[in-house]
Amino acid sequence: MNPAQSDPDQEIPLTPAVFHILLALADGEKHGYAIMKEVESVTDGAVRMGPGTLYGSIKRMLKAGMIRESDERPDPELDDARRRYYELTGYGRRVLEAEAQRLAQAVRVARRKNALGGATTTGG
Amino acid sequence: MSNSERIYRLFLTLYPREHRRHYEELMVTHFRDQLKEARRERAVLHLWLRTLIDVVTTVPLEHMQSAGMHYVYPWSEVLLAILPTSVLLFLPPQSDQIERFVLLGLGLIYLAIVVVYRSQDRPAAWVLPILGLAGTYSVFWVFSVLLGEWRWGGEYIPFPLVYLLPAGIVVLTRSIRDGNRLTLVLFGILMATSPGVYLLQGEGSLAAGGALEVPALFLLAAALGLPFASRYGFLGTLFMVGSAQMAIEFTIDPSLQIRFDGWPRLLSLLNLGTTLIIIPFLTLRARSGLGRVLAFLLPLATCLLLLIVLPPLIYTYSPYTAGHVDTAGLVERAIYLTNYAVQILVGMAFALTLYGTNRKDDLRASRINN
Repeated sequence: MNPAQSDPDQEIPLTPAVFHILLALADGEKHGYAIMKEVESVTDGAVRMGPGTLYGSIKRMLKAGMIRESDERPDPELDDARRRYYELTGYGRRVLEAEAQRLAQAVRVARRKNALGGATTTGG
Repeated sequence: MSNSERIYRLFLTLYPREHRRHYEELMVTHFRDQLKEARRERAVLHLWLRTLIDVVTTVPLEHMQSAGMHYVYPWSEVLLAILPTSVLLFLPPQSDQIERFVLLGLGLIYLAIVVVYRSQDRPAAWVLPILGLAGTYSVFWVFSVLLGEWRWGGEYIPFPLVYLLPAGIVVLTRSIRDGNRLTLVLFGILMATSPGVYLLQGEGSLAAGGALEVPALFLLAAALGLPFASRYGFLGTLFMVGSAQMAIEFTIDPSLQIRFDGWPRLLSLLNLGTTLIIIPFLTLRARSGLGRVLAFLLPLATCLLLLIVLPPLIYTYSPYTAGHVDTAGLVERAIYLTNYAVQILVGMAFALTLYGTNRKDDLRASRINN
Protein backbone atom coordinates (compact mmCIF):
# COMPACT_ATOMS: atom_id res chain seq x y z
CA MET A 1 0.00 0.00 0.00
CA ASN A 2 1.16 3.54 -0.71
CA PRO A 3 2.40 5.01 2.63
CA ALA A 4 0.62 8.28 1.84
CA GLN A 5 -2.69 6.42 2.05
CA SER A 6 -1.74 4.32 5.11
CA ASP A 7 -3.14 4.85 8.56
CA PRO A 8 -0.37 6.24 10.79
CA ASP A 9 -1.96 4.54 13.81
CA GLN A 10 -0.75 1.18 12.50
CA GLU A 11 2.83 2.28 13.31
CA ILE A 12 1.94 3.28 16.87
CA PRO A 13 3.45 2.85 19.45
CA LEU A 14 6.88 3.71 18.05
CA THR A 15 10.14 2.48 19.50
CA PRO A 16 12.05 5.22 21.34
CA ALA A 17 14.72 5.23 18.61
CA VAL A 18 12.21 5.74 15.80
CA PHE A 19 10.32 8.43 17.72
CA HIS A 20 13.49 10.39 18.44
CA ILE A 21 14.70 10.13 14.85
CA LEU A 22 11.36 11.47 13.61
CA LEU A 23 11.56 14.28 16.16
CA ALA A 24 15.09 15.12 15.11
CA LEU A 25 14.01 15.40 11.48
CA ALA A 26 10.90 17.45 12.27
CA ASP A 27 12.72 20.76 11.78
CA GLY A 28 14.64 19.83 8.67
CA GLU A 29 16.83 17.28 6.95
CA LYS A 30 19.86 15.85 8.70
CA HIS A 31 22.52 13.19 8.18
CA GLY A 32 22.97 10.21 10.53
CA TYR A 33 25.53 11.69 12.89
CA ALA A 34 23.61 14.98 13.18
CA ILE A 35 20.48 12.99 14.06
CA MET A 36 22.37 11.18 16.80
CA LYS A 37 23.76 14.44 18.19
CA GLU A 38 20.33 16.06 18.20
CA VAL A 39 18.77 13.08 20.01
CA GLU A 40 21.58 13.09 22.55
CA SER A 41 21.15 16.79 23.09
CA VAL A 42 17.36 16.89 23.54
CA THR A 43 17.40 13.91 25.92
CA ASP A 44 20.35 15.25 27.96
CA GLY A 45 22.39 12.24 26.94
CA ALA A 46 19.78 9.72 28.12
CA VAL A 47 19.30 8.32 24.59
CA ARG A 48 22.54 7.57 22.77
CA MET A 49 22.19 5.68 19.54
CA GLY A 50 25.06 3.67 18.17
CA PRO A 51 25.48 3.19 14.42
CA GLY A 52 23.74 -0.21 14.52
CA THR A 53 20.62 1.12 16.22
CA LEU A 54 20.53 4.30 14.15
CA TYR A 55 20.94 2.77 10.70
CA GLY A 56 18.79 -0.26 11.56
CA SER A 57 15.98 2.13 12.50
CA ILE A 58 16.61 4.30 9.43
CA LYS A 59 16.40 1.24 7.20
CA ARG A 60 13.01 0.25 8.63
CA MET A 61 11.72 3.83 8.48
CA LEU A 62 12.74 4.14 4.84
CA LYS A 63 10.93 0.90 4.09
CA ALA A 64 7.82 2.06 5.95
CA GLY A 65 7.88 5.35 4.02
CA MET A 66 8.30 7.57 7.10
CA ILE A 67 11.50 9.18 5.84
CA ARG A 68 13.34 9.49 2.53
CA GLU A 69 16.88 10.16 1.47
CA SER A 70 17.19 13.72 0.34
CA ASP A 71 20.72 14.07 -0.95
CA GLU A 72 24.33 13.07 -0.48
CA ARG A 73 26.90 15.77 0.11
CA PRO A 74 29.72 16.72 2.51
CA ASP A 75 29.01 18.28 5.91
CA PRO A 76 31.18 21.43 6.01
CA GLU A 77 31.19 21.38 9.83
CA LEU A 78 32.72 17.91 10.11
CA ASP A 79 35.01 16.79 7.33
CA ASP A 80 34.84 16.11 3.67
CA ALA A 81 33.31 12.62 3.92
CA ARG A 82 30.14 12.40 1.87
CA ARG A 83 27.04 11.97 4.02
CA ARG A 84 23.55 10.84 3.26
CA TYR A 85 20.79 13.20 4.36
CA TYR A 86 17.30 12.16 5.44
CA GLU A 87 14.04 14.07 5.63
CA LEU A 88 10.52 13.39 6.86
CA THR A 89 7.82 12.35 4.39
CA GLY A 90 4.21 13.49 4.79
CA TYR A 91 3.40 10.06 6.17
CA GLY A 92 6.31 10.26 8.62
CA ARG A 93 5.03 13.60 9.89
CA ARG A 94 1.56 12.13 10.42
CA VAL A 95 3.07 9.18 12.31
CA LEU A 96 5.07 11.60 14.48
CA GLU A 97 1.96 13.64 15.23
CA ALA A 98 -0.03 10.52 16.11
CA GLU A 99 2.67 9.28 18.49
CA ALA A 100 3.12 12.72 20.06
CA GLN A 101 -0.63 12.92 20.66
CA ARG A 102 -0.62 9.45 22.22
CA LEU A 103 2.20 10.45 24.56
CA ALA A 104 0.53 13.80 25.36
CA GLN A 105 -2.64 11.94 26.27
CA ALA A 106 -0.64 9.65 28.57
CA VAL A 107 0.98 12.68 30.21
CA ARG A 108 -2.45 14.29 30.74
CA VAL A 109 -3.67 11.16 32.49
CA ALA A 110 -0.50 10.95 34.55
CA ARG A 111 -0.87 14.58 35.60
CA ARG A 112 -4.51 14.06 36.57
CA LYS A 113 -3.47 11.15 38.77
CA ASN A 114 -0.50 13.08 40.24
CA ALA A 115 1.83 10.45 38.81
CA LEU A 116 4.43 12.87 37.48
CA GLY A 117 6.19 13.17 40.83
CA GLY A 118 8.49 16.18 40.98
CA ALA A 119 8.53 16.66 37.21
CA THR A 120 7.85 20.20 36.08
CA THR A 121 5.19 20.43 33.41
CA THR A 122 3.82 23.26 31.39
CA GLY A 123 0.66 23.81 29.43
CA GLY A 124 -2.65 22.54 30.05
CA MET B 1 42.67 4.21 9.31
CA SER B 2 42.94 3.84 13.10
CA ASN B 3 43.04 0.51 14.91
CA SER B 4 39.63 1.23 16.45
CA GLU B 5 38.16 1.72 12.99
CA ARG B 6 39.74 -1.51 11.77
CA ILE B 7 38.24 -3.41 14.70
CA TYR B 8 34.85 -1.80 14.12
CA ARG B 9 34.97 -2.84 10.46
CA LEU B 10 35.59 -6.39 11.64
CA PHE B 11 32.48 -6.22 13.82
CA LEU B 12 30.48 -4.98 10.86
CA THR B 13 31.13 -8.25 9.05
CA LEU B 14 28.69 -9.82 11.53
CA TYR B 15 25.77 -7.94 9.94
CA PRO B 16 23.82 -9.41 7.00
CA ARG B 17 25.41 -8.80 3.62
CA GLU B 18 22.49 -6.75 2.34
CA HIS B 19 22.61 -4.46 5.37
CA ARG B 20 26.35 -3.98 4.94
CA ARG B 21 25.99 -3.17 1.29
CA HIS B 22 23.74 -0.21 2.08
CA TYR B 23 25.03 1.00 5.43
CA GLU B 24 28.59 -0.17 6.07
CA GLU B 25 30.33 3.03 4.96
CA LEU B 26 27.74 5.21 6.69
CA MET B 27 28.18 3.26 9.93
CA VAL B 28 31.95 3.53 9.72
CA THR B 29 31.73 7.28 9.12
CA HIS B 30 29.37 7.54 12.08
CA PHE B 31 31.74 5.56 14.29
CA ARG B 32 34.68 7.68 13.13
CA ASP B 33 32.84 10.84 14.18
CA GLN B 34 32.05 9.32 17.56
CA LEU B 35 35.66 8.25 17.96
CA LYS B 36 36.96 11.78 17.29
CA GLU B 37 34.63 13.18 19.90
CA ALA B 38 35.46 10.42 22.40
CA ARG B 39 39.18 11.13 22.00
CA ARG B 40 38.62 14.80 22.73
CA GLU B 41 36.67 13.86 25.87
CA ARG B 42 39.05 11.00 26.79
CA ALA B 43 36.10 8.59 26.73
CA VAL B 44 37.24 6.04 24.14
CA LEU B 45 36.71 3.12 26.52
CA HIS B 46 33.18 4.27 27.20
CA LEU B 47 32.53 4.57 23.47
CA TRP B 48 33.73 1.00 22.90
CA LEU B 49 31.48 -0.29 25.66
CA ARG B 50 28.46 1.40 24.09
CA THR B 51 29.49 0.23 20.63
CA LEU B 52 29.82 -3.39 21.74
CA ILE B 53 26.35 -3.29 23.28
CA ASP B 54 25.06 -1.72 20.07
CA VAL B 55 26.61 -4.48 17.94
CA VAL B 56 25.45 -7.33 20.19
CA THR B 57 21.86 -6.08 20.28
CA THR B 58 21.47 -5.11 16.64
CA VAL B 59 23.26 -7.95 14.80
CA PRO B 60 20.66 -10.62 15.71
CA LEU B 61 17.84 -8.17 14.98
CA GLU B 62 19.15 -7.42 11.50
CA HIS B 63 19.58 -11.13 10.76
CA MET B 64 16.07 -11.88 11.94
CA GLN B 65 14.61 -9.12 9.84
CA SER B 66 16.69 -9.89 6.78
CA ALA B 67 14.65 -13.10 6.38
CA GLY B 68 11.39 -11.18 6.03
CA MET B 69 10.03 -8.14 7.74
CA HIS B 70 6.85 -7.71 9.72
CA TYR B 71 5.61 -11.25 9.41
CA VAL B 72 3.86 -12.50 12.53
CA TYR B 73 2.00 -15.78 12.57
CA PRO B 74 -1.71 -15.44 13.26
CA TRP B 75 -2.85 -16.79 16.62
CA SER B 76 -5.10 -19.35 14.95
CA GLU B 77 -2.02 -21.06 13.52
CA VAL B 78 -0.21 -20.79 16.83
CA LEU B 79 -3.09 -22.42 18.68
CA LEU B 80 -3.10 -25.26 16.18
CA ALA B 81 0.58 -25.76 16.74
CA ILE B 82 0.25 -25.70 20.50
CA LEU B 83 -2.53 -28.25 20.61
CA PRO B 84 -0.38 -31.40 20.43
CA THR B 85 2.04 -29.84 22.88
CA SER B 86 -0.75 -29.17 25.34
CA VAL B 87 -1.72 -32.83 25.18
CA LEU B 88 1.89 -33.74 25.91
CA LEU B 89 2.19 -31.42 28.86
CA PHE B 90 -1.03 -32.49 30.55
CA LEU B 91 -0.54 -36.21 30.25
CA PRO B 92 -1.30 -38.29 33.31
CA PRO B 93 1.89 -39.59 34.99
CA GLN B 94 3.49 -42.51 33.21
CA SER B 95 4.54 -45.68 34.88
CA ASP B 96 8.10 -44.97 33.92
CA GLN B 97 9.49 -41.66 35.07
CA ILE B 98 11.99 -41.54 32.19
CA GLU B 99 9.21 -41.56 29.63
CA ARG B 100 7.51 -38.77 31.49
CA PHE B 101 10.63 -36.62 31.21
CA VAL B 102 11.13 -37.51 27.58
CA LEU B 103 7.60 -36.55 26.63
CA LEU B 104 7.83 -33.38 28.67
CA GLY B 105 11.09 -32.50 26.95
CA LEU B 106 9.56 -32.97 23.52
CA GLY B 107 6.60 -30.84 24.51
CA LEU B 108 8.82 -28.07 25.78
CA ILE B 109 10.81 -28.05 22.55
CA TYR B 110 7.63 -27.71 20.52
CA LEU B 111 6.50 -24.89 22.77
CA ALA B 112 9.84 -23.12 22.60
CA ILE B 113 9.84 -23.18 18.81
CA VAL B 114 6.32 -21.81 18.67
CA VAL B 115 7.02 -19.10 21.23
CA VAL B 116 10.17 -18.02 19.40
CA TYR B 117 8.30 -17.81 16.14
CA ARG B 118 5.34 -15.97 17.57
CA SER B 119 7.40 -13.46 19.49
CA GLN B 120 9.68 -12.48 16.64
CA ASP B 121 9.37 -11.25 13.18
CA ARG B 122 10.23 -14.26 11.08
CA PRO B 123 13.72 -15.29 12.22
CA ALA B 124 16.49 -16.08 9.79
CA ALA B 125 16.73 -19.71 8.77
CA TRP B 126 20.18 -20.11 10.26
CA VAL B 127 18.71 -19.60 13.73
CA LEU B 128 16.75 -22.84 13.58
CA PRO B 129 19.44 -25.51 13.21
CA ILE B 130 21.26 -23.84 16.09
CA LEU B 131 18.05 -23.86 18.10
CA GLY B 132 17.50 -27.51 17.23
CA LEU B 133 21.03 -28.51 18.12
CA ALA B 134 20.97 -26.56 21.36
CA GLY B 135 17.57 -28.07 22.16
CA THR B 136 18.78 -31.59 21.53
CA TYR B 137 21.86 -31.30 23.65
CA SER B 138 19.92 -29.50 26.38
CA VAL B 139 17.51 -32.41 26.53
CA PHE B 140 20.44 -34.83 26.66
CA TRP B 141 22.08 -32.87 29.42
CA VAL B 142 18.97 -32.33 31.53
CA PHE B 143 17.95 -35.97 31.34
CA SER B 144 21.46 -37.12 32.07
CA VAL B 145 21.53 -35.04 35.21
CA LEU B 146 18.02 -35.99 36.26
CA LEU B 147 18.64 -39.66 35.73
CA GLY B 148 22.05 -39.61 37.32
CA GLU B 149 23.61 -41.14 34.23
CA TRP B 150 26.08 -39.64 31.85
CA ARG B 151 25.28 -40.49 28.27
CA TRP B 152 27.44 -38.04 26.37
CA GLY B 153 30.12 -40.51 25.49
CA GLY B 154 30.79 -42.47 22.32
CA GLU B 155 28.15 -42.67 19.69
CA TYR B 156 25.66 -40.30 21.26
CA ILE B 157 27.46 -37.03 20.60
CA PRO B 158 27.37 -37.08 16.78
CA PHE B 159 23.86 -38.51 16.69
CA PRO B 160 21.93 -35.22 16.56
CA LEU B 161 24.40 -33.83 14.04
CA VAL B 162 23.35 -36.50 11.54
CA TYR B 163 19.82 -35.25 11.72
CA LEU B 164 20.85 -31.69 11.05
CA LEU B 165 21.98 -32.64 7.56
CA PRO B 166 18.68 -31.89 5.83
CA ALA B 167 18.41 -28.61 7.69
CA GLY B 168 21.92 -27.73 6.61
CA ILE B 169 21.07 -28.46 2.99
CA VAL B 170 18.11 -26.14 3.16
CA VAL B 171 19.96 -23.32 4.83
CA LEU B 172 22.67 -23.55 2.22
CA THR B 173 20.08 -23.58 -0.54
CA ARG B 174 19.37 -19.93 -0.35
CA SER B 175 17.07 -19.92 -3.37
CA ILE B 176 14.26 -21.61 -1.47
CA ARG B 177 11.69 -19.07 -0.40
CA ASP B 178 11.84 -18.08 3.26
CA GLY B 179 8.58 -19.56 4.47
CA ASN B 180 9.20 -22.99 3.05
CA ARG B 181 12.82 -22.97 3.91
CA LEU B 182 11.82 -22.48 7.52
CA THR B 183 9.28 -25.26 7.29
CA LEU B 184 11.94 -27.56 6.06
CA VAL B 185 14.42 -26.53 8.68
CA LEU B 186 11.77 -27.43 11.23
CA PHE B 187 11.92 -30.96 9.97
CA GLY B 188 15.64 -30.82 10.53
CA ILE B 189 14.98 -29.83 14.09
CA LEU B 190 12.41 -32.52 14.62
CA MET B 191 14.88 -34.98 13.23
CA ALA B 192 17.50 -33.61 15.54
CA THR B 193 15.38 -33.73 18.65
CA SER B 194 13.25 -36.85 18.42
CA PRO B 195 15.94 -39.52 18.11
CA GLY B 196 17.89 -37.78 20.82
CA VAL B 197 15.14 -38.27 23.33
CA TYR B 198 14.48 -41.78 22.13
CA LEU B 199 18.04 -42.64 22.91
CA LEU B 200 17.47 -41.56 26.46
CA GLN B 201 14.68 -44.01 26.91
CA GLY B 202 16.98 -46.96 26.96
CA GLU B 203 19.81 -48.60 25.16
CA GLY B 204 19.56 -46.77 21.89
CA SER B 205 16.55 -46.07 19.78
CA LEU B 206 15.95 -49.70 18.97
CA ALA B 207 15.29 -50.75 22.54
CA ALA B 208 12.81 -47.91 22.82
CA GLY B 209 10.99 -49.04 19.74
CA GLY B 210 12.51 -46.22 17.76
CA ALA B 211 14.20 -48.15 14.98
CA LEU B 212 10.99 -48.80 13.14
CA GLU B 213 8.95 -46.06 14.64
CA VAL B 214 11.24 -43.15 13.97
CA PRO B 215 11.65 -43.62 10.21
CA ALA B 216 7.94 -44.33 10.03
CA LEU B 217 7.33 -41.07 11.84
CA PHE B 218 9.47 -39.13 9.43
CA LEU B 219 7.89 -40.76 6.43
CA LEU B 220 4.58 -39.63 7.84
CA ALA B 221 5.96 -36.21 8.53
CA ALA B 222 7.23 -35.92 4.99
CA ALA B 223 3.93 -37.15 3.60
CA LEU B 224 2.10 -34.61 5.70
CA GLY B 225 4.57 -31.90 5.00
CA LEU B 226 4.70 -32.17 1.23
CA PRO B 227 1.17 -30.98 0.54
CA PHE B 228 0.90 -28.73 3.56
CA ALA B 229 4.20 -26.96 3.83
CA SER B 230 3.90 -24.67 0.86
CA ARG B 231 0.16 -24.16 1.27
CA TYR B 232 -0.43 -23.75 4.96
CA GLY B 233 2.80 -22.50 6.37
CA PHE B 234 5.18 -23.50 9.04
CA LEU B 235 2.88 -23.73 12.04
CA GLY B 236 0.17 -25.61 10.23
CA THR B 237 2.77 -28.19 9.31
CA LEU B 238 4.09 -28.23 12.83
CA PHE B 239 0.62 -29.05 14.04
CA MET B 240 0.29 -31.89 11.59
CA VAL B 241 3.64 -33.36 12.52
CA GLY B 242 2.94 -32.95 16.20
CA SER B 243 -0.42 -34.64 15.88
CA ALA B 244 1.05 -37.47 13.86
CA GLN B 245 3.78 -38.00 16.40
CA MET B 246 1.24 -38.05 19.22
CA ALA B 247 -0.90 -40.51 17.35
CA ILE B 248 2.03 -42.84 16.92
CA GLU B 249 3.33 -42.40 20.45
CA PHE B 250 0.09 -43.48 22.03
CA THR B 251 -1.12 -46.11 19.68
CA ILE B 252 1.60 -48.25 18.23
CA ASP B 253 4.61 -47.84 20.47
CA PRO B 254 4.70 -50.91 22.72
CA SER B 255 7.53 -49.58 24.86
CA LEU B 256 5.30 -46.89 26.27
CA GLN B 257 2.82 -49.54 27.42
CA ILE B 258 -0.03 -47.13 27.40
CA ARG B 259 -1.95 -48.43 24.45
CA PHE B 260 -5.70 -48.44 24.74
CA ASP B 261 -5.86 -47.98 28.48
CA GLY B 262 -7.99 -45.27 30.05
CA TRP B 263 -6.90 -41.66 29.54
CA PRO B 264 -4.04 -42.35 27.14
CA ARG B 265 -6.37 -44.20 24.89
CA LEU B 266 -8.81 -41.30 24.90
CA LEU B 267 -6.03 -38.79 24.25
CA SER B 268 -4.69 -40.94 21.52
CA LEU B 269 -8.02 -41.23 19.78
CA LEU B 270 -8.68 -37.54 20.31
CA ASN B 271 -5.38 -36.67 18.69
CA LEU B 272 -5.84 -39.00 15.80
CA GLY B 273 -9.38 -37.76 15.30
CA THR B 274 -8.22 -34.17 15.29
CA THR B 275 -5.61 -35.02 12.69
CA LEU B 276 -8.10 -36.74 10.49
CA ILE B 277 -10.59 -33.89 10.87
CA ILE B 278 -8.03 -31.23 10.19
CA ILE B 279 -6.81 -32.97 7.06
CA PRO B 280 -10.14 -32.69 5.21
CA PHE B 281 -10.55 -29.14 6.50
CA LEU B 282 -7.24 -28.09 5.06
CA THR B 283 -7.89 -30.09 1.93
CA LEU B 284 -10.78 -27.79 1.16
CA ARG B 285 -8.39 -24.86 1.24
CA ALA B 286 -5.86 -26.37 -1.18
CA ARG B 287 -5.41 -24.34 -4.34
CA SER B 288 -5.12 -27.02 -6.98
CA GLY B 289 -6.96 -30.28 -7.66
CA LEU B 290 -3.78 -32.28 -7.28
CA GLY B 291 -3.03 -30.44 -4.05
CA ARG B 292 -6.41 -31.45 -2.68
CA VAL B 293 -5.92 -35.08 -3.60
CA LEU B 294 -2.46 -35.16 -2.05
CA ALA B 295 -3.53 -33.24 1.01
CA PHE B 296 -6.27 -35.70 1.71
CA LEU B 297 -4.97 -39.04 0.56
CA LEU B 298 -1.34 -39.01 1.53
CA PRO B 299 -1.67 -38.34 5.25
CA LEU B 300 -4.74 -40.47 5.52
CA ALA B 301 -3.13 -43.40 3.77
CA THR B 302 0.00 -43.02 5.83
CA CYS B 303 -1.95 -42.87 9.08
CA LEU B 304 -3.93 -45.92 8.18
CA LEU B 305 -0.83 -47.78 7.12
CA LEU B 306 0.96 -46.94 10.32
CA LEU B 307 -1.93 -47.57 12.62
CA ILE B 308 -3.48 -50.65 11.08
CA VAL B 309 -1.11 -52.46 8.76
CA LEU B 310 2.30 -51.94 10.31
CA PRO B 311 1.77 -52.79 13.99
CA PRO B 312 0.86 -56.43 13.41
CA LEU B 313 3.79 -56.77 11.02
CA ILE B 314 6.09 -55.20 13.54
CA TYR B 315 4.95 -57.47 16.32
CA THR B 316 5.12 -60.55 14.14
CA TYR B 317 8.31 -60.12 12.19
CA SER B 318 10.44 -57.52 13.88
CA PRO B 319 13.25 -58.48 16.24
CA TYR B 320 11.67 -56.61 19.07
CA THR B 321 8.41 -57.84 20.45
CA ALA B 322 8.31 -56.72 24.05
CA GLY B 323 10.60 -53.73 23.96
CA HIS B 324 13.72 -55.88 24.19
CA VAL B 325 16.15 -56.75 21.44
CA ASP B 326 19.43 -58.42 20.95
CA THR B 327 21.47 -55.28 20.50
CA ALA B 328 24.49 -57.19 19.25
CA GLY B 329 22.64 -58.94 16.45
CA LEU B 330 23.09 -58.39 12.74
CA VAL B 331 19.40 -57.69 12.27
CA GLU B 332 19.56 -54.99 14.89
CA ARG B 333 22.51 -53.36 13.17
CA ALA B 334 20.82 -53.53 9.79
CA ILE B 335 17.70 -51.88 11.14
CA TYR B 336 19.79 -49.33 12.97
CA LEU B 337 21.63 -48.33 9.78
CA THR B 338 18.44 -48.35 7.77
CA ASN B 339 17.03 -46.00 10.37
CA TYR B 340 19.80 -43.50 9.68
CA ALA B 341 19.58 -43.89 5.93
CA VAL B 342 15.81 -43.56 5.72
CA GLN B 343 15.70 -40.46 7.83
CA ILE B 344 18.43 -38.72 5.88
CA LEU B 345 16.92 -39.71 2.54
CA VAL B 346 13.49 -38.55 3.61
CA GLY B 347 14.87 -35.23 4.68
CA MET B 348 16.77 -34.77 1.44
CA ALA B 349 13.87 -35.86 -0.72
CA PHE B 350 11.66 -33.47 1.15
CA ALA B 351 14.14 -30.66 0.60
CA LEU B 352 14.39 -31.35 -3.11
CA THR B 353 10.64 -31.61 -3.54
CA LEU B 354 10.00 -28.34 -1.78
CA TYR B 355 12.78 -26.76 -3.76
CA GLY B 356 11.11 -27.87 -6.99
CA THR B 357 7.71 -26.65 -5.80
CA ASN B 358 9.10 -23.29 -4.91
CA ARG B 359 10.95 -22.92 -8.18
CA LYS B 360 7.67 -23.50 -9.99
CA ASP B 361 5.87 -21.03 -7.71
CA ASP B 362 8.57 -18.43 -8.22
CA LEU B 363 8.51 -18.88 -11.99
CA ARG B 364 4.73 -18.55 -11.95
CA ALA B 365 4.96 -15.43 -9.79
CA SER B 366 7.57 -13.84 -12.03
CA ARG B 367 5.40 -14.53 -15.10
CA ILE B 368 2.46 -12.85 -13.36
CA ASN B 369 4.58 -9.86 -12.34
CA ASN B 370 5.89 -9.47 -15.87
